[in-house]
Amino acid sequence: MRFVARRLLAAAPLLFGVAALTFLLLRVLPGDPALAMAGERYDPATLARIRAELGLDEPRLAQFGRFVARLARGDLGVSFAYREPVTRLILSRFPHTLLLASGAIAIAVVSGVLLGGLAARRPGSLADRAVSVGSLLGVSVPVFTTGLLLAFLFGVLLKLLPPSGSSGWDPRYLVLPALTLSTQSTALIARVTRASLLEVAGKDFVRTARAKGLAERRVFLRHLLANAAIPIVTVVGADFGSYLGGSILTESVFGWPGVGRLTLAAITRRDFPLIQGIVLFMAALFIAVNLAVDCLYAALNPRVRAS
Amino acid sequence: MLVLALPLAAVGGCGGCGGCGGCGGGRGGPAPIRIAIEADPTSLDPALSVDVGSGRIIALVAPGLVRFDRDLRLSPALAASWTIDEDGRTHRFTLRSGAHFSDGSPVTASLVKKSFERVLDPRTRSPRDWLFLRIEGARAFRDGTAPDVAGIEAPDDEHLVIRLEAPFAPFLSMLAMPQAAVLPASHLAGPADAPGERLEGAGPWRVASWSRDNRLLLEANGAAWRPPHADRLEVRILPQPGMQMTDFEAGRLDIVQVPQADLARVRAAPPAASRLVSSPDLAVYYVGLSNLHAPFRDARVRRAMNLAVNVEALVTAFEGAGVRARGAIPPGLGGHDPARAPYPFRPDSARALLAEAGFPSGFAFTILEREGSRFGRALLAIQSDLAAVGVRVAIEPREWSALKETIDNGRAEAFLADWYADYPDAENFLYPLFHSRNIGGGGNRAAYSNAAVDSLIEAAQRDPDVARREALYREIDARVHADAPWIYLWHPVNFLLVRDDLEGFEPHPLFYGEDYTGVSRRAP
Amino acid sequence: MRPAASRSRRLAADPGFVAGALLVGGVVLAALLAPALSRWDPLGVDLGRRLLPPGGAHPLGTDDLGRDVLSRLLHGARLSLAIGFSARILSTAIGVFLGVLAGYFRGGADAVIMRATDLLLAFPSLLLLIAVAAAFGGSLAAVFLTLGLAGWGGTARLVRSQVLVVREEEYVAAARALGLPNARLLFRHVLPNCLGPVVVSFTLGVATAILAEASLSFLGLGAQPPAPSWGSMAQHGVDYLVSAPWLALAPAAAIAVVVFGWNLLGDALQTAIAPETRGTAA
Repeated sequence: MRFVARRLLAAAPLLFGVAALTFLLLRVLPGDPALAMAGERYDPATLARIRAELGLDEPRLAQFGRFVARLARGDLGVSFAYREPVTRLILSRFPHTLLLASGAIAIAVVSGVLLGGLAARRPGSLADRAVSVGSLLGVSVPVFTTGLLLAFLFGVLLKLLPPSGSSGWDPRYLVLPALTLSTQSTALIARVTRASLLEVAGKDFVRTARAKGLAERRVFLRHLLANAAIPIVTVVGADFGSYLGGSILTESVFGWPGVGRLTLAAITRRDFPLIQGIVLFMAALFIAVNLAVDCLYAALNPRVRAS
Repeated sequence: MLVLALPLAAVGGCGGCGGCGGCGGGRGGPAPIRIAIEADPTSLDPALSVDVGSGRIIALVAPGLVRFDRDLRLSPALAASWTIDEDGRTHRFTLRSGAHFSDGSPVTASLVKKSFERVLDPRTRSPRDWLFLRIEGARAFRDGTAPDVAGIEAPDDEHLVIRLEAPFAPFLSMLAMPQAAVLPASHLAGPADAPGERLEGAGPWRVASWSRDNRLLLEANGAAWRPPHADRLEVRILPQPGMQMTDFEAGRLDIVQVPQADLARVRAAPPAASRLVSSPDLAVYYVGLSNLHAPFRDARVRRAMNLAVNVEALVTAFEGAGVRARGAIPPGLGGHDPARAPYPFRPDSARALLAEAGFPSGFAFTILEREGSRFGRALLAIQSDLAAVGVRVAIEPREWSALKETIDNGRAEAFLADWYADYPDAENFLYPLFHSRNIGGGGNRAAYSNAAVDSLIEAAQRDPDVARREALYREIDARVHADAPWIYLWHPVNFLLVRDDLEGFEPHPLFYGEDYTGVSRRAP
Repeated sequence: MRPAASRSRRLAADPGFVAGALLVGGVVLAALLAPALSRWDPLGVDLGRRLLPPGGAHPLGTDDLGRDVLSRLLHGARLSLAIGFSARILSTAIGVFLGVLAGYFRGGADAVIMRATDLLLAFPSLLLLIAVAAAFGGSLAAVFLTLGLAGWGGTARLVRSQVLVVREEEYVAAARALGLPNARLLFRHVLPNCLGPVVVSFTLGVATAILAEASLSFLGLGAQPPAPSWGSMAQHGVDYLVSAPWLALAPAAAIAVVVFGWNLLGDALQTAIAPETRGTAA
């Protein structure tokens, strides 16, 4: 528990740092949110009034002060463009992103471990090489390409799956985006699985177990996988954490109504509170997921706890 | 955890039958009419609506006093009839009797007054307050020195009188805009009741559900004065035009705007069971040449620019999704002159004019464009045409609000821009685009200033006689065209694909004009 | 520490290395020779020859403005490689500098630098890239700066841990105790030992940078038209995915091939030079 508490304490200044950095970046960039809201034709007096209401003509330090004060209360402010609380905006999109992220990670873990295991069974074989090359390719092809290809193939040519949008829990809409998002993770997990399986397979205790004649599958599952779990969990943690922040590219290609699309729209409109809110939200999630991963490490491997 | 559970329920609750193409509807009855828009409306508050998406939805749910039919004739909406006094300033409206909002409350004149005042209210921060600023007492109210707008009176529940400061012919047309929506008392009490995700109105449709960034479901409002034939209208939010096409071809949409990239393919092989219709947009695309910057102060240089660019080829290249512009006023509006000759493609004459103006070896300038603009490709062709007469053009994309700022502060030499009609009157083009008072944020981005044109525009604004006004518009457009503050490009034409089993749909020239009340699905 | 000779021999025998080197070499060559290899002007608009399918005079067809896709692809290689490479050099330079500072001098500098690195790595990367690129308006210089300034985190951490190890080696510790000037120690002993992991991190980082630039361009925030960036070519091609798929698929395939090549190369180098860095961020 002290372990968790220590990590949480370390996270606070980190979040503050992220908040400050975001604030700075946004204020330094060109682009005026008031103008973005004013439309094609506007009365200069109206524009001035909008800027005043949004607090844009106050000194930067004052703006930051207000931002931090609100943050301390857990209030992420009100979006310039939507005129709604940022928290509500993010939370309304988050379930979709969560769905996509979970789907992608699930696919990645299952296929990655299977492929990695397949490759590790017979190192140097055709299967091994195929998986190696395939996973390297998976990490190389940009997400938007995979997305477009899949959308084109299954959505337009074969007309098997809908290429865009979402419809609540209808799984048909989830397949393509989750598949697209999962490719890079699958590739990484496959490589990592293979590497750690091979590494562990050579170790003494496994050979002892094999010599004892335990069934192949039990050996595999019990010893190899448990020990190979740590690096896999690392990858899953990192990737899941970043997916939760909203995968902008995938959501953009498939029109998925998640946090990623909200982010892109917010940046285009220079919607400072919304951008700040999303960044903090993402950072907090990322840190939380990493914390969970660290705890998992400690649980899996007592030696880590001591460090 | 509760905080998470609620949104999760929201996601699950809107599942229904949204996915399947031809099914009979999960809740019984025919499938809804399915259309698409490109961007999620940020808010359904009429006072804040500046984008196409929100305008379209607001017009369906909360109409105003008047509306435009497909032939762009002003027709009654919540006002049954109206008159304008001799002085041209006083408009008297008689409201439609028995009109009710979707919450059951009746539409009264005082609610109309309060709805309009809301747009002027400084607390609302509406960017479209200019709609009502010509009303007597409006400025005082907006600036906080008066408790209400003196020029709007509601002598009884059924009658409304609006007095303008000076005669202004297009005022009635402006009342058809989405920002002039009439709201029920439930939205008018205070800032907390403002429409946003919720909108109640007296329109033919009600918002049944809204899954942000995803889809909006509208249900027919049986109590409206003209209830729709169909039960439900589903609006899918699909940001890329390609996505919309794919959905249509997969049977998930009933009406779709064909993206320019797919026009050739669709014309050659139209998708099964659908028809292609076209509808001109009340808009114009142009390259503004800032009159504040040296070479463009000389009208000869500006004319040379028009002579040097082969606009005809551009328009053809874009699959006929446009009509060559011979002025600012688009076809379909009074004052458009189809007989006026556009600038011919004469690079030699262009070179001669440039030499005469003192630029025998050309000059260099930068055209700014909006980042991500789909018509930016036209600039590349323009760049190459101008290079052929010795003018070296650099193209610089800018983020939209930064671009507006640069243009409005007069720092842009030239820029690619467009102008879409808010209301179908040529005044909506000529006044904001060319009157010197609108240099800066008002719309006159090219900083064009001509006193004679100014007075002609003002005369047209005052003149109640339609024929005389149109003659004035024609003349103004001709003068400005000769003066060439722009490189005139085209007026866009929309192509729509409509499912054969959809009856009663014809395209409407105004983006917010179609109310889908006459549209229904033919029974199989 | 393995003898260099056997290392190079092992590398040369690794099919991954060979394939990667060939791919990358091929693309670099194509990029360098782009003007000679392109039959058409990559910026040459010709509205009469729009959307021609691949074949004949245009091996990869033409786009919606009549420009030859192959020529644009070749010139795009210059852009992608140039940005990927230079951004990565910037990142690596910053990363090495900060990593050495932190690892060698420890103390306050170490604490500050490590906090900054944590901050940078916790910050959602694509978001950072988008925000900054949107700000600077998408010029090539801006993209280069953005990618360069955002990418030093992993390298800094890597270098720091290497430096920490080397620092404690007997001869280095002895030299420090003797009062030998730091600069000399750094350049002659510490840095060369970090070289291996840095080279690997650099190579793999180029792949990431190219992908990042392509993604930025795809979102409309990277190199702007008419510059033939692969990412923006793909973005414009999306509209024509159904009617002219080669417009989007050609640049996308090019990106994949180049990145794949760099990954192969980096992977092989990693196996040969610094297997201990497996599993750490590039």
